[in-house]
Amino acid sequence: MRRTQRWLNLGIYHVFIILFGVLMVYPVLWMVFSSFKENTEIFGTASLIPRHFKLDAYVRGWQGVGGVPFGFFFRNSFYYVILATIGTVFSSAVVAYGFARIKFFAKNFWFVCMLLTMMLPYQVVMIPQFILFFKLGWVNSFLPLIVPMFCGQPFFVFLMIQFIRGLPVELDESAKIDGCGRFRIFSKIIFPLISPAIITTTIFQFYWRWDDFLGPLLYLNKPRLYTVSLALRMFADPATATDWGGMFAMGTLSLVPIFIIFISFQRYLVEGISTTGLKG
Amino acid sequence: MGFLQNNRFRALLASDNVTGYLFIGPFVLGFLAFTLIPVLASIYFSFSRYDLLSPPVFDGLRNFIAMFSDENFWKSLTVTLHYAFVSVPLRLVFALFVAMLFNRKSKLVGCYRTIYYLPSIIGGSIAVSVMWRRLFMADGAVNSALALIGIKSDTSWIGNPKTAIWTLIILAAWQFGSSMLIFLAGLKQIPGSLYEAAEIDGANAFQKFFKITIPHLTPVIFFNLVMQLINGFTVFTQAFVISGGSGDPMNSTLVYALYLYRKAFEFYDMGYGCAMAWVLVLILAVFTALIFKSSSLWVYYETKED
Amino acid sequence: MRKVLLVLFVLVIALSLTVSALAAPKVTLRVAWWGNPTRDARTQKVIEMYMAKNPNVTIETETTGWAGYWDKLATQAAANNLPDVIQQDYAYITQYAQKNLLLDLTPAIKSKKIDLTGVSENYLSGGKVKRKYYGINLGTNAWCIVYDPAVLKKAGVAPPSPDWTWADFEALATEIYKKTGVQTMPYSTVEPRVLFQNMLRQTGKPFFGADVTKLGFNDTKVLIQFYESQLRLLKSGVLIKPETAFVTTTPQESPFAKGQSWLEFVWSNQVVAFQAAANRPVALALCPKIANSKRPGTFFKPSMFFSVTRSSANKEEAIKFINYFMNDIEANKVLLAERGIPVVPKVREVLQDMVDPVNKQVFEYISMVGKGHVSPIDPPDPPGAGEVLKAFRNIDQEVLYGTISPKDAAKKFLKQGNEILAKNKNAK
Repeated sequence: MRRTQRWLNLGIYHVFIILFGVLMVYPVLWMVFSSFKENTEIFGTASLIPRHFKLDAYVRGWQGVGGVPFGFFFRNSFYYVILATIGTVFSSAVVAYGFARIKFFAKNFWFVCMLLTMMLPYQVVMIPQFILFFKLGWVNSFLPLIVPMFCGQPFFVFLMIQFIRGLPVELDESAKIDGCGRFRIFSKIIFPLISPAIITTTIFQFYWRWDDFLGPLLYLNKPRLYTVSLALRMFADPATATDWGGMFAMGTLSLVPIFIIFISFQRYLVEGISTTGLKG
Repeated sequence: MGFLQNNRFRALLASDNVTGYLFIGPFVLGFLAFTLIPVLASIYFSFSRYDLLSPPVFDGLRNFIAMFSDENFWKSLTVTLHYAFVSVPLRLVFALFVAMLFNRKSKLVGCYRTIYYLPSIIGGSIAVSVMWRRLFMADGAVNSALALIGIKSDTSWIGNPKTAIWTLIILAAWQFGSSMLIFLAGLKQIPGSLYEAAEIDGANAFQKFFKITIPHLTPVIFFNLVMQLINGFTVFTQAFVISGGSGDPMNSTLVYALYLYRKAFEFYDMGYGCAMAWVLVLILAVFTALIFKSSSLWVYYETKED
Repeated sequence: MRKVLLVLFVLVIALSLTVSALAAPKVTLRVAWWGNPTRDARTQKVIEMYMAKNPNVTIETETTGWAGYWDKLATQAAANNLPDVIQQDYAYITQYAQKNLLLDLTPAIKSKKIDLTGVSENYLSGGKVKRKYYGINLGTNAWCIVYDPAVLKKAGVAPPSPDWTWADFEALATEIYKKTGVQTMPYSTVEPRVLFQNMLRQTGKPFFGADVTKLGFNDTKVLIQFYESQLRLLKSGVLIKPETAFVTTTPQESPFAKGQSWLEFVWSNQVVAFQAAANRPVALALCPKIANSKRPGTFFKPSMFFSVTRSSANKEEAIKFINYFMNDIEANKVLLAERGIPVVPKVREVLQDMVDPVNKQVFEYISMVGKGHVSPIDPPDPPGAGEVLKAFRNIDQEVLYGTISPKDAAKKFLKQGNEILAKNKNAK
C-alpha cells in the first residue's frame, strides 16, 4: 500500500514536471525548429515541425555579415567570453573573501560603492566610459571588455560574500591555529568550499558575456572583431525584409556553447563536492 | 637587520587593514580606474543640458524640476513599481519551489534542470519577442487555452493597456532560471547531516523545510531579494524586446529604464537621462537599505558581521 | 647573435618606413552604416571594388543593425571619434548638422566632385539643412498604400485612382468589409504622423515649419478629421481594433500579411518586405485627397544619406568614395537599389530593367508620383522632433482606445508639441 502510494507520488511528480517543462521550453523549440523551415513557413503555420527539414538557413547564416563568415564571430566570442569568465571567477572570489572575513578600514564605504554601481543604469555611464577607454587607445580591441572583468564583478562578489558568510568561522580559526595565513586559508579552505557559488558564477558569467551586446557594439568596430551576439543583431533592419531563417539558424547555433557549459557544470551543483562532513 | 625588516614586513602583511585591502584590491583599483570617473561625470551631466553631440552646459536643477511635471516620468515610475513588486516575489517563490523539486540526485533531474533553465538562456533574443506576441495576441495560444477550459476571450492581452504589463511580469516569472540556480547552489551548501538528525528526531517534510532549509537559505534569499529588486527596477531588455522599445500600448509597458534610454539616446537629452538615473539610484538605495536593516532580524549567518 | 638581430630589426623597420613614404599616400577611410545581411554583403562588395580601383585607399567598415546604430554614433560623437563617412537618416541629420559634426557638401556638389548632373532638386533637398547640403540621398522613398488587389476584386470594387478622396477611401473600406469581411488598418500605426502629415500638407501647411520653436500648423481641423475618420470606421467594425493594430509587429505578423487587412501604409522601400511577408501579389496606391486639397500631400523622402563628418582627416577621399557610390554603374548593379530608388538618372535607367518585379512596381510608383503627384519636402525635423512624434503617436492611441475625444486630443497635441519645441528657444 505504502509502496503504491510512493510510486503514485513519483509518477505525479514526473508527469507534472514534464508537462510544465514542455510549456517552459516551447518557445525555444519553436526557434530551433523554425531554423529548419523555409522563410515563408516560419510565420505561415502554427505547426512546430517543419514540412521539410532544410539546412539552407544555416548555409545562408553562416556566410556571416560584411564578408566575414560566422566562424570568426564564434572564435571572437570564445576568446572574449572565456577570458572574461576566468577573470570574473577568480577576482570576485578574492574580493568577496576580503569583504566577508576581514575587518578593515572603510570597508562599509567600499561595499556601498559596489552596491551603487549595480543600481546605476549602464546607459548613463556608457559615454564617459567610452571616452575613457578611447583616450587609453583601447577601442577596437577586447581590452575594455576583458580588463574590468579582472577587477571583481559586483554581482558575483556579493553572491560569494553570502556563501562565505554561510560557512562556520571556526574553519578559519582552526586553520589559523595550524599556522595558515589569510592567503592559504582562502585558497585551500574557502575557495573549494564555496564551489557551488563558483560554479554558478561560471555558468552565469559565461552566458552573460556570450549574450553581451552593448559592450561589443561600442568597442569593436571592425566586422572581423565582432562577437556572435553582435553579429546576430545585424539581421534586423526595420525597413527591409528580415532573413528570419538565417537569424534563427545562427541564434540556435549560438545557444549550443551556453547549453554545453550549463549541462557540464550544473551536475556539480548536487554531485561531487560535498560539505556534509564539515559540521559533523 | 634584514631578518628584522622581513619580520616587520610580515607583521604588516598580517595586519587586517593591509590584508583586507590586498584582497579587495582588484575591486578598488577597477572602481577607481574604470567606474569612478564615469560615475562622477554622470552626476555632472544630471545637472547639465547635454545633447551628446556638443559638450554639456551646466544648468542647475532644471532636469530634476522638469521631472516633476513630466507625465511620462510618473507613468514610467508607476509602471516600474507595479512590475517590480509583483514580478520579484513571483519569480523568487517560483524559483525556490522549482529548486526544491530539483534538489535531488538523479539523471532525470539533471535533464529537467536543463529544460527549466533553457528559457533563461534565450533571454532577450528576438525569438522570445516573436513568441510572446504569438502567445498573447487575440488569436494567440493563451486565448485558445482559455477556450479549452470554457472561458471565451478575444482580448489581445499584449495590446490591451490594462493587461500588457502582465505579459511582462509573466515573462519575468518564466525566466526564473538564474534565481533557481542560486537557490540550488544554496541548498547544496546545507549540511546533509542536519536533515539526517532531524529525521531521527521524527521531523516531517514541512518541519524540515521551515526549521532547516529556510533558515540556512536566508543568506541566499537575502541576496536574491536584493538583486532581483535591483533587476526589477532597472528592467530594460524584456520591455524593449516585447514592445520594440515603444512602451505600447499607451505607454503601459513604458518601464523606467526604457523611458530613461529613450530620453537619453532617442531624444538626445542625456542630462535628463542622468538625472532620472540618479533618482532611480536614490529610490533603490532606500529600498536596499531597508532590506539590509531588516536583515539582522531574519537572515541567519554562521558568522556575525564584523 | 642578439646584436645582429637587433641591427636587422632596425634595418627592416627603416626600410619599411622609406618604402611606405615613397608610395602614394596611404589613406584609411572608416565607413559606417546600419543594415541587414543583404545590404552588408552588397555594400562590402562595392567597397572591395573601390579598393581594387584605388589601391592607396583602405576602407574599414562599421556596420550594425538599426538597433544600436544611433547609440554608437552618439557615443563616438561624444568622444570625437566619428567615422569618415556615415549613413544618416532624415530624423537625425539636422541635429548632427547643427552641432557642426557634418561637412557642408555644397562646394563638392558645385564643383562636381560629387557629380549630380540631372538630378531633380526634389530628390536632393531632403539633405539640406539651412540651405546647405549635409547629406547625399542614397535612395528615394515616397509614402504609399500597399494593398491586396485580389481582395478588391473579390469585393467587386475598382482599384483606387490617383485622384481618390478620403470619402472614397471610407466607402471603399466599408464596401470591402461588407463583401469580404476583410478589415482596414488604422491610419499608419508605426508612424501615424506621416499619414496625418500627408493630409495636412494638402492644406499647404507643414507639420514642422521653418521656425524650430513651434509646430508648423495651429489649426486643429485636419487633425480632428484624421481622428474622426478612423473612429467612424472603428465604430462600424471596419477598422481593426487598436488592441490588435498597435501591437508592434514584424511585416510577417502584420494583419496585412495574415490577410486580415486589405492594406498597409508604408514607405515605398518597405513594400518589398511586406510583399515578401504576404507572399502574394500587391499593388500600390497614392494616399487619398482631402476636400479642398490645395497641393499633393506626397513628397520624396531620402531613405538614407551618406554624410562626411567634419572630424574626418580625409575629406577629399571620402567625397571621392561617395561620388563613386552614387555614379558608378557597375557598383550600382551590385547594390541593386537596395537603399531605395537611386537619384542619378543614368543609374536609375540601367537598374529599372534589372530589378525583380516587386522592385519594378516601386520604380513605377515613384515615377508615377514624380509626374504631378508630389510637392516639395517640408523643412527637416527640428531638435525635439522625436519627442513630439512620440507624443503624437501616444495621443493617436488614446483616441482609438477611446480615452479621449478627437477635439480634446487635437488640443492636447498642439499644446504638448509646442511645449516640447519651445525648449529650442533657449537653446543656443
